[in-house]
Amino acid sequence: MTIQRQYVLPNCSLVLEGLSTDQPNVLSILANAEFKIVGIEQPLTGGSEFFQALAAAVSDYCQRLLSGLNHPGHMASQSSVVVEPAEGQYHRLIVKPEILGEADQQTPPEALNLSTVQLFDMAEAIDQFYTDTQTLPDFSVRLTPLPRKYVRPAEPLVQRAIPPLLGLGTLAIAAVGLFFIPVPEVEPEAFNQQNNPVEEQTENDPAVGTPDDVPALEPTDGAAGDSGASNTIEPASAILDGAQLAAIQQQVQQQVSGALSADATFEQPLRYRVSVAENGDILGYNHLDEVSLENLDSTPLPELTYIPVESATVEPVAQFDISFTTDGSVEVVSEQGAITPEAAPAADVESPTPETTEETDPQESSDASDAGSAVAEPVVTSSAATGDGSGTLSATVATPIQDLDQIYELNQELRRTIINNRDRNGSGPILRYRVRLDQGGNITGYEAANPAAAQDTTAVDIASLVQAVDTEQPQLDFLVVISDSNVVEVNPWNGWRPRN
Amino acid sequence: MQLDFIMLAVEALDLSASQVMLAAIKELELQDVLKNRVHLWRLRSTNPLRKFNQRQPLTLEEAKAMVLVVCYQCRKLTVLIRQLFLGYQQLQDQNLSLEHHFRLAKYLKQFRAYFRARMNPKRATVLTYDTDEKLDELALALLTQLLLCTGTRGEERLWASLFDGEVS
Repeated sequence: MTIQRQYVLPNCSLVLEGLSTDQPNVLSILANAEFKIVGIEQPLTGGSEFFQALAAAVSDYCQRLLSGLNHPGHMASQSSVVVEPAEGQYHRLIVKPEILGEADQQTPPEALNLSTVQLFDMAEAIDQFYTDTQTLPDFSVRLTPLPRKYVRPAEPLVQRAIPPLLGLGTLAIAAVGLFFIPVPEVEPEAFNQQNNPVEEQTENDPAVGTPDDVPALEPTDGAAGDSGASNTIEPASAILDGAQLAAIQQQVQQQVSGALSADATFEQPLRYRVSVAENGDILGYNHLDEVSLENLDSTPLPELTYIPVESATVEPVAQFDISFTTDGSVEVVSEQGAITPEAAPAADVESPTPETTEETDPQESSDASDAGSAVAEPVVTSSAATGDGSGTLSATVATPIQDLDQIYELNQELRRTIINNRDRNGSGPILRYRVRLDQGGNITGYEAANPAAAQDTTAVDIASLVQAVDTEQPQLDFLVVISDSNVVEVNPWNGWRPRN
Repeated sequence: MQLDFIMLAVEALDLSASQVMLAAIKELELQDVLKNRVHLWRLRSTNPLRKFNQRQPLTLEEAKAMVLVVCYQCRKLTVLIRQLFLGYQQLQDQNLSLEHHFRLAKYLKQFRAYFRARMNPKRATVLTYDTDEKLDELALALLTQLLLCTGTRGEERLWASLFDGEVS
């Protein structure tokens, strides 16, 4: 029985003719299929094979329109019916002639330009046929998502490999480059110096002591016992009073050079900046260069540093630069700049009391065994825990007095002064002092020149006679000898012959 | 993303589409899956190109429900879509620009506005649609998809196309 089915849509009608075999009203064998498309004269007709291929191609192409991915079903290589996009909204339907079963194999493939609506109606007709269970029920429905293997990656493999390779390459280059850059060293010095209070940086005190070869003076610093390095220097108020500074400077010089062992030498000059409290305690220190940091332990600074008990109290401090020269001498330079000389009460802290005998003996003593250049600025002991200290003098005088007559007068004047101030009843070992005078006969500094003199602080009250004067003025050292029979002798330290 | 684009196209076609969508949900008895307007909006926001995008994935249930809703709406708009295509065809045959068809131009304009208002302009994919022409192309492609959705097996086709290239 021949059955004809028609699927009519506005732009396309599909007519299927076939035979019903087993069941009535079911078209099971397709004999002829005909697409009539509005606007196209020639209907598309073909057999079962043609219809199958056409249905698959159109269906696949619709999926392509939906997902934008090419399906194999409508491609030229896979199917004898090809649907491909044409310009604008047109789609080209190409039916290869062999599938039409025409005798003439030479005819070129039939190509139809279908608009979207026409194509859609075609697909719709096919879909309606699919859903029609009365027609060709063994025609299978093929609507499955496209497997991934048909999807061509958006970029070829080489292009996709470029970014990771580029990243790795950059990393390698950076690694090689950084390999040659040394590891930066942290400089704690810079950090510590920032902690220092900002001090006015003015001229340094030009008068600076040189090698302090005073023998065997005990370090007289009371605070020396407290060891410990406190590198932090509290931002405290600075001491600005020139006189006070001078006194502190002398104390520091004395402390440091006293604590330094006599034979200490350094391979290179070492420089430190110290903070000193009003009473002469070294509160903190900082190295000023690398060498100083490395050799810190060979200097007495760590032992001399005094750590305040109440760290909360901030005392005024003065800052000094201390230099250790290679031959083991110490220089102390005020950070504050020049010290006003007239205000420096150099000897305030001295404590001996005077009492000398009245015998005098102006005998010349050329005991200038210390041929070293005699010297300089007033130096003071701190009233110390050891208690037996006397002053120390820096070894050289910046500008020695050279006029012989003047030296003679000074000599006499000093002798009278000593006689007037000595302990009149005293008797004991021979005491030797080195006393420094300026042009006006003022005693600017003194030191004990033998151990007895260092211990006996009561024989002569030289300390009370010391006056602070400008260290740039001409000065000269004198040797004062108080003999065991209480006779006073005074001579220039370097003898009567003028130096150089 | 594709679903959201299609919905966007639907909205551009029909200004009251969101209301219709809610009505469609009721009619299709999908309230269990698409609970309310806000829920629907949240689902649509899973489109990664949106300005306010949500990172949670769309479940299959929800996606299916949305496919149904979209196809339902498309069928209601079949006539309009066909008219647009016929008009488009005429314009193309006469080499006229798209502005000459009033309804089509309106659709394109509406779609451009929606797209620019809702998509994140920093996304690379969105950046490729920076000119009106490119957006028009996208809108027409979406219109074609809408047309296909109106078919007898529109739901099946749309659903299968969502997973094109994603299955092995």
